[in-house]
Amino acid sequence: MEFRSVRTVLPGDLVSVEASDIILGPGLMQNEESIICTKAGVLMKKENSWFIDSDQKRYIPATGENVVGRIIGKVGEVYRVDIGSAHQALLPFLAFENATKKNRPALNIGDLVYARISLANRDIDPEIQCTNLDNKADGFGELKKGFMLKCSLRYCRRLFSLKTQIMESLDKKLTQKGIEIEVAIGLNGRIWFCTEKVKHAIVFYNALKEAETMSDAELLEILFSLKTQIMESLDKKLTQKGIEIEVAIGLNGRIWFCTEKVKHAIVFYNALKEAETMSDAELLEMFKNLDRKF
Amino acid sequence: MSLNRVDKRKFTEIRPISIEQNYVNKDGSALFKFGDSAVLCSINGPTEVKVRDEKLDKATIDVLFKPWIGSPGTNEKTHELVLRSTLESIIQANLHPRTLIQVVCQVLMDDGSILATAINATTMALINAGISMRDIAVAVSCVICKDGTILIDPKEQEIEENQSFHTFAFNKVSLNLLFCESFGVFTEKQYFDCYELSKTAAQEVINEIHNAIKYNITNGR
Repeated sequence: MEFRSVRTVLPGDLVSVEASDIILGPGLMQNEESIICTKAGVLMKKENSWFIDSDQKRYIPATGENVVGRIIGKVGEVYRVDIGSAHQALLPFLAFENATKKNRPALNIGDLVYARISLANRDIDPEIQCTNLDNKADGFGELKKGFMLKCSLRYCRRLFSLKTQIMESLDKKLTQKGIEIEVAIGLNGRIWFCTEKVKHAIVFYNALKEAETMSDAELLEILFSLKTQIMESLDKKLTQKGIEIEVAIGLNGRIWFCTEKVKHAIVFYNALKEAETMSDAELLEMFKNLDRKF
Repeated sequence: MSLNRVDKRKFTEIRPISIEQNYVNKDGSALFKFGDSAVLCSINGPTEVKVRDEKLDKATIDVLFKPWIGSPGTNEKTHELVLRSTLESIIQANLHPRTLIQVVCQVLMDDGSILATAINATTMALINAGISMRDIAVAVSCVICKDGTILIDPKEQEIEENQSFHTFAFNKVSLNLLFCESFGVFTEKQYFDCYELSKTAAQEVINEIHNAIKYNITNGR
C-alpha cells in the first residue's frame, strides 16, 4: 500500500487520529493527547503511519541516509566533511572498504564523497561512513571528477525513490547511444554526476533542474524522453562543433560540469540557471537550441 | 461604514496582502506585503553557531532588522527583541541544539504597520525554511483616532494623525495573544475593542497565508 496524501497542513494544525498505535514521521509531534503538525506540507498517510511531505533546503541528518559530502579538513584519524547540515560530519579513516591503520584512504580537502550516515543525533556531530552495513564499498566512496549540484531536499528524496526506475530505463537508452552517466543522489540535497562528455553533463543538469517542480510522472517523462532527446540532438550538434561537456548532478542541489573551454562553461552555466524556472516544453526547446549558444 | 480613510478602505479592512516565497536564495525566504508596506525576510539555519552564542539545549535565534533607509537604530533594536521573543515562543528550538537560526528582516517599503508586516514575513520565511514550529504567528496593527474610531492596518499617514497605535500578534490555532505593543493614550475598553478587531483581521491574514502555502505546494514551489 502506498502513502496517500490527506490534505495540506500548516504548522500548528491538529491531526485527528483514531487508532491508538500510530507511527509519526517527520513534521509531526505529539502534544499531550493530540497530534500537531510542525511543518507546512502535505499530510501523508499509510495505514497507521503518518508524516508530512515538506520541502526545505537545509539538511538535518538522519541515520541511514545517503549523502554527498565535501572533505573540508583532516583532524587526527578522521576527515571533517561538509554535508550541508548545521554541524560538520566526521568520516573516520577506517570507515572505508579494506581500510586499515596502514592502508589509509587518500582523500584531499575539496574532494567529494558519497557516504552513508552511520550516526545522527542532535547532540553530537553526525558520523558518516563510506561502506554499507556489510563493510563493502557498494558505490560509496570518493566521487572522482564529476559535477555536484544543489537542489531542494524534497526533490532529492523523490529522485532517490524513483532512482531504480530512472536508472534502469536511462541505462538502457543511453547505453545504446554509448553515453555513460554516473549519478550519486544524496538525500542532503546534493546530486553528483559524471559523464564522459561535458555536453552530456550540461544536458543532464538542465533536465534535472527543470524537473524539480514536476510531478513524479512528469519527472520520469523528462528524465527519460527529454533527456535522451536532448542528448541526441545536442550530441549531434555539439559534436559537429567539436564541443564537449561533462556533467554531474548531485541531488543535494549541486551540479558539476566540465568543458574544455571556459566560455562554453559560462554558456552552460547560464543555460542551466535559466532553465531552472522553465516548464517542460520551454526546457526542451532551450536544450534543442542550446548548441546555438555555443 | 463611511469611506473617510485615506485609501477609501473600511475601518476594519486590511490592505491587500501579497506573499511570495523563495524570494532570495537562502534556506528560506519570503516577501510579505500589506499594501505598500513590504518586508523581505530571509532565514539561514539551522547552521553553525559561534561558540559564545552556543546554547547546549536549544537553537540560538538571532534576529536582524534592517530599516528601509539608514542604519538600524533603537526602534529597529526593539523590533528585533519583539521578533525574537515572539519566535522563541513558537519555534521548536530544542530540536536543533548548538545551532543558529538567523532571521534577517529587510524593510523594502515603509507605509506603516511595519512590525506587523515583519512578523508575518518572518512566519512565511520560517515555513519556507522548514523550521519546526509549534504554531505560527500572525500580526495586525491598529490605531485609535481622536474621535475614538479604530482603524485596522493603518497607513503611515493614519498613524501620524492618531491618538494611540497598537500591534497585536496572535498564534494560529487558538488565536491567543503572543505579543502586543501599544503607544499613546487609550482607555481599557478601547484597548479590548482593538484586541477583538485585530483578532478578526488576524483570521483574514491566516486565511491568506493558508491559500499562499496551498498554492505554492500544488505548484511545486
